[in-house]
Amino acid sequence: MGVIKKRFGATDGWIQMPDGSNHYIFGFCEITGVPENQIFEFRGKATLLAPLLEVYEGDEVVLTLTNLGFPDRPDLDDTHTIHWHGFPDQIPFWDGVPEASISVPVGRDFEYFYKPLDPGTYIYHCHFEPVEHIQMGMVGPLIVRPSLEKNPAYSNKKFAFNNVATEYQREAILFLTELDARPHSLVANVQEFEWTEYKPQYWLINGRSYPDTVKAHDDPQLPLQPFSAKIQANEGEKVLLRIVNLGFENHNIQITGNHFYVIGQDAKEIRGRNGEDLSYQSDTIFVAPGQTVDAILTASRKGKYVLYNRSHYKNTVAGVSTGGMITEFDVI
Amino acid sequence: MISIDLWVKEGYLSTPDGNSIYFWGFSEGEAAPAQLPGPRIICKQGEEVTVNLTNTLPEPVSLCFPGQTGVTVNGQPVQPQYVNGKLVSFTNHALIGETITYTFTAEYAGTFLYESGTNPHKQVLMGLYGGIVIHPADYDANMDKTAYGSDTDTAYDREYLLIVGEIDPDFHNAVKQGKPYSIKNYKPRYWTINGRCAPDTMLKNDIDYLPHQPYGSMIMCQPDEKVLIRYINAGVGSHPLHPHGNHTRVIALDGRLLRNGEFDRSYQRFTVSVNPGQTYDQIFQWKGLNYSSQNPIPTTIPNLRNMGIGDAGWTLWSGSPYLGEKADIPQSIQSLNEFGEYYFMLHSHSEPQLTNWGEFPGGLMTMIAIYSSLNENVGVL
Amino acid sequence: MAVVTKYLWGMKGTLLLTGRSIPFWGFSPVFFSVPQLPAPQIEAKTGDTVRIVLFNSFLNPSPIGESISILFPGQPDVMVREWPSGNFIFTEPQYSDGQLYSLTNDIATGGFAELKALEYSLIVNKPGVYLYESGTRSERQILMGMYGVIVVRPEGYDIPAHPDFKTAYGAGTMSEYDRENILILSEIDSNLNNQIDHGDDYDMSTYHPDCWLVNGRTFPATVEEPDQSSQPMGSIIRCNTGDKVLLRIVNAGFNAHTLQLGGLVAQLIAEDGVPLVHTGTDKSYQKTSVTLGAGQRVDLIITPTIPGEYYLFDREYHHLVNNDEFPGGMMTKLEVAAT
Repeated sequence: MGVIKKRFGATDGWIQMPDGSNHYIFGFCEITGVPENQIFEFRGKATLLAPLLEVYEGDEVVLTLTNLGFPDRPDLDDTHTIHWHGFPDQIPFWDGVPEASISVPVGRDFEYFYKPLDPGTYIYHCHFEPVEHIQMGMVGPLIVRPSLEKNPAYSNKKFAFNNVATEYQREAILFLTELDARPHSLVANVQEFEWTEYKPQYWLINGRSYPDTVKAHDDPQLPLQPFSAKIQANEGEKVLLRIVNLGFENHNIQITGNHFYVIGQDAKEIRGRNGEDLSYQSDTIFVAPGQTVDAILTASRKGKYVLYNRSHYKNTVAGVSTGGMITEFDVI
Repeated sequence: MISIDLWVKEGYLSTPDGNSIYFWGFSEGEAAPAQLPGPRIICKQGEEVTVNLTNTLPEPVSLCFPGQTGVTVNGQPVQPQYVNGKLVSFTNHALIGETITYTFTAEYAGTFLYESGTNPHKQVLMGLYGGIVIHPADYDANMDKTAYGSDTDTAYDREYLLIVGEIDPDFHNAVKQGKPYSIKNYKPRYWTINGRCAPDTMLKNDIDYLPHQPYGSMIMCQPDEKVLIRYINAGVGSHPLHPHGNHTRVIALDGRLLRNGEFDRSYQRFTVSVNPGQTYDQIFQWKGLNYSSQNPIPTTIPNLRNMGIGDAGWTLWSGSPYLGEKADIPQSIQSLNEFGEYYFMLHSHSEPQLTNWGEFPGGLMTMIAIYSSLNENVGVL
Repeated sequence: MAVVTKYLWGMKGTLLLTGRSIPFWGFSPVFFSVPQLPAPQIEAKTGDTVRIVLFNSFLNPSPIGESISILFPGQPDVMVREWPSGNFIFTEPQYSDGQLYSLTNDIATGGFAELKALEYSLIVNKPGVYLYESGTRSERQILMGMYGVIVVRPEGYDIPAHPDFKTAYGAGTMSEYDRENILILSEIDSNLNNQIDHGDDYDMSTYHPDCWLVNGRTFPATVEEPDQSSQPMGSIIRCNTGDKVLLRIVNAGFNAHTLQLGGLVAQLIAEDGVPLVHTGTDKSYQKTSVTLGAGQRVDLIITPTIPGEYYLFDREYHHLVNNDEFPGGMMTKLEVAAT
C-alpha cells in the first residue's frame, strides 16, 4: 500500500470527430511533477477522457486539483471540483460538491484525499454545474485494484475483485458518453445552452467516435483524445470490460458472436446480503447514466468482432455514416 | 381499516424560477387544496383500505393501484370502462361530479403507486398520482422497524418517500386552455421530487408559499443509521438516481422483497435506474471515516477566502471538514448549515434533469443530511 | 437434433399504422409475397441447427435495393455460405474500403432472375427467445423493420411425459406454463421511414418515434385477430383463472420500454434468455412492470386469479396514442375467463 500523489489541471481543449468537426471541451490533464513555472503550458490541453486514475485498495491518494483556467474562454471564471463518483463513506470536504463544500477558482489548488477500500470501476468528474461541466468533458475513469493481486500466491495475476473467480488476463475501459455539438459550440462562443434541449449527435467510447475508437492509444491525429477503445486478446483469454456510462442517456451494449458475464455493478461484486452470487450471463448490457458494469468477455474463437450499441442510431457519426458507439474486438 | 377521501381538483404548482404551472391533483377533501403528489396513503399489511374518489374535473377520473390485489368497486372486481366500445379507463371511473369508492386489502408490505387510469397520457402527466406505503403487519413505530417484517433483514431507523416526476409546462398550459397538444412531442422542462423542483426539494414539509406541494425531500439521519429510501417513479422517463456518500442496497422492487426463502437477491448500487411506474426500496447507511478535530484530516484546509464557496449565493457547508463542527465562512455567503451537519447530494445523473428549464441548480436533486444528533421523530412515515 | 430451415426474402412493404400507410422493410417467408412485421417467428429445439436462406432480389417484386443480412445477437459461431453449395465459414463483420458497413456477411442486390442466396447456419444450444435482425446498416434496416425472433425450446417441451413438457427453459427452471404469448415491442419514426424508403437524405440523430407497436401493430389492432397482411400477429392474451401465462417480452426497438402488466404481479423467470432458476438456485423475482432496454428480453409468468380484462401497456403513457389520441400505441389486453 503506497501513498500516491497526483496533480490534475482543469482547463479547456478541442477534440475532433471522424467527420472532421472540432468541438470545444473542458477537461482535466495530468500535471503531476510538473514544475510550478511550467504548469501553465498545460492550459488548453484538457483531454477527453481525463487521465486514468488507477490505484490499489488501501493506497492513500492525495490528488491536487489546480484550476488552470480556460485560454479560449478567458472571461469565464468557473470553479472546478473533483467528485469521486461512488466513493463509499466519503466526507463532503473531499466529495467535490460545490453546494456542500469547496470548489477551486482559477489559479488555485485544492487537495483531495482518498483511502479506497473497495475495488472496482469508478468514475470521477467535475461537479460544478455538472450538466455543463460533464457534457463539456470533465470526466475520467477511475479503477481501484484489489489487494488480492498483492498476495504472493497470485503474483502476476489480475482480478476484478478480491475473489479468485474474477480473474482476467486483459482489460478494456469502455467509457460511454454522448456529445451534443450545440452546447460545445455555444460555450466556445460565449453563449448559453438551454439544457432541456439536449439531444446528442455523437456517441462516444473513451472520448472517440468509431472508427477513431479503434485507433491506437495516443494517436498523434487525436492529441487530446488519447484513449483507444480497441479490445484485443488471445484465444481463450478473459477480458475484463469496465463499462462506464457518464452520458445522459441509457445505453445497451452488444457484441457480435459472443456474450458477457456480468460480475460487477457500480464497483461492487453483485452479491446478496449473505454473499449470494448474483453474477449473470447476458448478451445485452443495459447501463444507465452514472452506472458502471464489470463484465468478462471470453475470447472464444479467433476472428474480428464488433461491439456496438443496440440503439443503432447511436452507431453513427452525426446521424449519417457508420461510426459512433462502436469498437472492435480482435481475437488472435 | 383505513378510509381516505381523495378529491380531484385543479391547482397551481410553483417552481423555483418563478413559474406557476396549472396542474391536476388529489386533495384530502373538499376544503383541502390539490397537491402534488397526492396525499400519501400509509397503512399496515392486512388492513382494508377504502378510497373515496370525488371528481371535480370536466372528464371521468379513476384510480389504478398497480400491485394491489383484489381491488373492488361496490364489491365487484374493477374492470376497464368503455364508451361506445372505445376504451376510456383501465378501471372503474368517477364521472364528472361523482364519488366512487375503491376497496382493497393491503396484502403485501412495500412501496406502491396510485395513479389515474383514465386518459393516463393526460391525467397522470397532469399530476394525478400519489404514493402508498404499506408497513408490515408486525410494524410498530416505537419498536425496531422493518420494511418487510421481522426475519426479512430489512431493519431501518428512518424512512423517506421520494416520488419523482416530470413537467412539460407547454402541455400543462394546453390542457388549461383546452388547446390541442401533440403528446408525441412531450418534452419535460422541469423534474420533480415529491412535486417540487430543487432547491425547493430541500425545504421542509408544509411551507406556506407552496400550498400545493406539501412534501419536502430532505433525507436526514445520523451516522451508522439505516435509512430506508423509497423511490417511486410516477413519471414517464427514466431517472438514474445517484446518492453521494455511499451505495444503497436495493431490497425490494415494486413492493416485492428481493429474497426467495433464505436466498437474498438484494444488491448494491451507487446509481439506481428508476424507471416509469416502478418502486425501489433501498437501505442507505453512512458510517463515515471518523475524522474529527481530534483525528484530523491528512490534507491542509486552504484559506477559504481563496476558494469557491456558495457560488449560487448559498452554501450548505459548515466551513469545517468535521461532523458537528462549524467554522467561519466568508460573510458574503449565506450558510444554510445548522449544526455542522454533512450534506450529500442525491440527484439524477441524467444531468439535464438537474435544471429548472435549463438552469442549474434545479430539478431532480435533493440532499442527504447527516447530523451528529437528530430527533428520533424525524424520518417517520 | 433436427435441422430447421427457413427461407426469407428481404422486401419493401407497407404498414397500416394509426390510419396511415408507412413504408417499411422486412422479411417475407415466401417469394412474390409481402414482408412481415415482425419477421416470421422461427421455432427450434435446443441442439437444433437453424438454417436461414436469405434472398435479396431473386423473385422479389419489391427488393430493398441494397445489401442485406441477418445478425443473431447472443449466438456464437454463426456460419454462412453461398446457398446452396458453398462451404460454410464463420460469419464476420464486413468492410468496404476499410469502412465497416455490415456486422455480418451480407448479400448484395442482384437480378430478379438471378438465383442467389446466402445461407446462415447456427446451432441453438440454449433455450430462450432471441432476436434475429439486419446486421447491415442496422441503424436504418432495423429501424425500417428488419427484425424477428427465434424461439428456442427445451428438448421435451412438446412431449407430455417429459419433465420439460410445457416449460420455457426445461425442468427445474420454474418455467412451467399453460399459455404462452410473445410480445415484441418496437417503435417507428414515420418521418425517417419515409425519408429512408424514398432515398432522401436523413439524419438518424433526429430519431423521434411517433408509432409504438406490439407485434407490429398499434392498439386497437393489437387485440384483433391474426390475418394475412404485413402485420399478421395480434397480441391479445386469453386464459382462464389459475392458468400460468408465460409472457415472452422482447424489445426490438431502439428506445427502452416499460411494459406494465395490467396492475398484476408477475414472476420474472428469465432475462435475456438466461433462466433465473437453475441448479436449485432461485433468483426469480416479482414485478408489476418491466423495463427493457434495446435488444433485451424478459420471460415472466402471470397467474391471474380474478376473471376480467387487464390492459398491458407501455408505462410511458405518451406512447399510448395514435396520432395523439388515446387509446392507441403500445398496448394490448389480457382476457381472463372464469375456470
